[in-house]
Amino acid sequence: MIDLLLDGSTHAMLLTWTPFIVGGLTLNAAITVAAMALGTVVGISLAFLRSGNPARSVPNTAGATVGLGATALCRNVPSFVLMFYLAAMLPTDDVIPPWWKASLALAFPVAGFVSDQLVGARRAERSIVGPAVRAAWGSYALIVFMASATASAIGADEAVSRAARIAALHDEPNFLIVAYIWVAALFVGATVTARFIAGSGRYLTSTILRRAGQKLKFTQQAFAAD
Amino acid sequence: MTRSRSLVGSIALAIATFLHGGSATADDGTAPGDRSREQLVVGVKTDYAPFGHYDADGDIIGLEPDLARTLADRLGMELSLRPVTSRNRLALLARGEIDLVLATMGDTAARRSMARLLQPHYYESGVRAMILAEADLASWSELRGRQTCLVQGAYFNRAVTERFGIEPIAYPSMRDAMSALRSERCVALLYDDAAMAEVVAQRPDEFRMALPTVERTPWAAAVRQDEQALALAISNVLADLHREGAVRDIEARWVGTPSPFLTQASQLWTSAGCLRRTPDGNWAPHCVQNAVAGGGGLSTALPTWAERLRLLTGADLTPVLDPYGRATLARGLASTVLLGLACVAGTLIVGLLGAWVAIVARHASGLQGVSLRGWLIVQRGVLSVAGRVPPILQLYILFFGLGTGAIAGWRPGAFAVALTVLSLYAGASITALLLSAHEQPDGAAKGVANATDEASGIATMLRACLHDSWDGITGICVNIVKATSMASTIALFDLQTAVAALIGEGAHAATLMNGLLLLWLVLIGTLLSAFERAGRWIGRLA
Repeated sequence: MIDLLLDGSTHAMLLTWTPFIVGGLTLNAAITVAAMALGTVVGISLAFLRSGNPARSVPNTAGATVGLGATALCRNVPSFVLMFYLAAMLPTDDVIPPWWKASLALAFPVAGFVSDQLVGARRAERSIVGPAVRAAWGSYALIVFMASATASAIGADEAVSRAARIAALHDEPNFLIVAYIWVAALFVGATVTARFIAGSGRYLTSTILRRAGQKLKFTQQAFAAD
Repeated sequence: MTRSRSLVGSIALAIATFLHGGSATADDGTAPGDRSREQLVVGVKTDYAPFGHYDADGDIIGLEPDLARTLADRLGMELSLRPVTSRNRLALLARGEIDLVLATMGDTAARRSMARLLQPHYYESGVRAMILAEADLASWSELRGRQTCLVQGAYFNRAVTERFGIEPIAYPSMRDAMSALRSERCVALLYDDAAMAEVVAQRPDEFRMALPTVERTPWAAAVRQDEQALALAISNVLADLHREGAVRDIEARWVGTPSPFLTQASQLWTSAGCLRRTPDGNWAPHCVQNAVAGGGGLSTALPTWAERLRLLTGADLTPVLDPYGRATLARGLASTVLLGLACVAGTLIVGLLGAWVAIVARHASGLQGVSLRGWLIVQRGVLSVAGRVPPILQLYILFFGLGTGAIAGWRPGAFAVALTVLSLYAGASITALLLSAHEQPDGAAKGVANATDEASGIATMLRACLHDSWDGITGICVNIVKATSMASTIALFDLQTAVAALIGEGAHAATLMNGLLLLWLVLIGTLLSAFERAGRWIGRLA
């Protein structure tokens, strides 16, 4: 296998197939975004149910119990098992594409996680959008991106299945492992790129906000001087 | 016009067919059970050469598509092919999305309860062994006590395991099982001979077939239970095709060695007793074959209370009440729990060690500092990669890759591979969380912000970071325990594999799936209360 890895023709073949695999990575990204979006929204609602509105004087215990129960349900079931469950119970792939089922399956643990994070932060009297919570959310997004690769098990046309399809077209015995190693490298590249984009995005946003804030202050001072 | 004419025509021709048991044409030249201008949607495989697969243009070709075309032509219907898999073929049929299943489906008692399986059978296959080309295997008894690869969900797995006393390792697909065979994780792969024949023919320098065929199973076409007219029509055409030797002609286009089953079928259906149906509309008993039971199956009869429960809720508790089912589930549960606990321990160890080394390296000086910082770079590199490659890929690469000569002679089992991969993977996230809590003190870590390089100082600091990040750490650990369900893809016999095996035996899928979800709810709930207690203990210390 080592000689296959070092062979130039293998490299050439992998390079020609790279755009195809990267196309699959976009589906992984789509699954991640959909799961995080849906899961975060549901998770916020659950956290709200659980800890209640601080402005209210009477605590909503019924809501708290429901919220806790729903969070437990979301958090306790493996997405891998849930994926097979949904693949068996929901309509077939031409009605609901497999990547929707995968996103739905992954949204459950996200919801449970977000609910726990927010309630935990509230209890420890930390800011619910503080750095610890944001770091945890960010690392969970990475986890979900990694988990999106399991969607290959229910037939989603993402990067890992595409690598397997490529390997099936070539007869050499160890090509499958080589193809998988290549996809692994592409995943690393994708996460590094995403981290870079997120970092730049954050920098840009904070710069814009700061500039806007300065302008506002300047305007206020100008009026106050009258 | 069309509908009423074909209805009357259908009835008339059905009666004619009834009496003749063979094809008869009406005056307008249409076939019996005429459904002209109607579409016949046939579900076929697309991943099972040469019976059903895609060609270079993306069309579905193979033995079964050709057979479907012949059937549609004889019935005067328009053919439409639909890709199906073993998993969904009967579900699609029941939902009405396909009208006929022609998808390498063996005739079993379980399937007969789900659809109307047609006689005559159109093909037959059995179980043989695939071995490495240079290996030797003379008889089935040689496999006793030896590690043998199987494919998850095959209904004959239990039968061959019990009959030949093998040590089974079941993989999710034939391709994975072949990878395992190549890495010499098993001495042979036992699977459907029809499925393996094509692969072996294409790679004679790698693999070869061995051992005489056992567990022979006929393949049946299937329609919905209520489709009597269609069943009758197709059944008659199949009998005709056997008589004419047409199935053998189709087979010759796709399969190298002709199947003896088809020769026997030709002879049988041209013999006097099978030329026509009996007065009650069926074929004579000696012409048809009984269904195979499916490897013993789960044959426990339900006690009254369980039967009542089943009628009330639909939950079929046979797998739990049957001793084989119970043993299978217990084995899967033990494996899952063991791997989960091991992964939690591994994850925490990796996470804490990683953070510890990072903090120490930052504060150390001199030669110790340099070497520690060097190690830190390596550690960060490894953990960074481990956290950025999907764990399922890591499992595949490590499990199958290690066997093929990279590290000769050392071949870790599925448990060890899963434990290593998952601990490194989640441990990387925990290290990152702890270090982030260390760098941006928020909460308890604020008071311990100035750690010295003394061991106790760092320990206190780590405890504070642990306390701060405990929610995140709990989340990660819970996540990794759930991720252990992935280990079924490298053939670890866990709950997932156990459930798949029992469903392959004919157990009620919905009951087992729902039961599996409920069981995980309980398992993780227990884990979480343990973590909560631990978190409070850490809070007291910090």
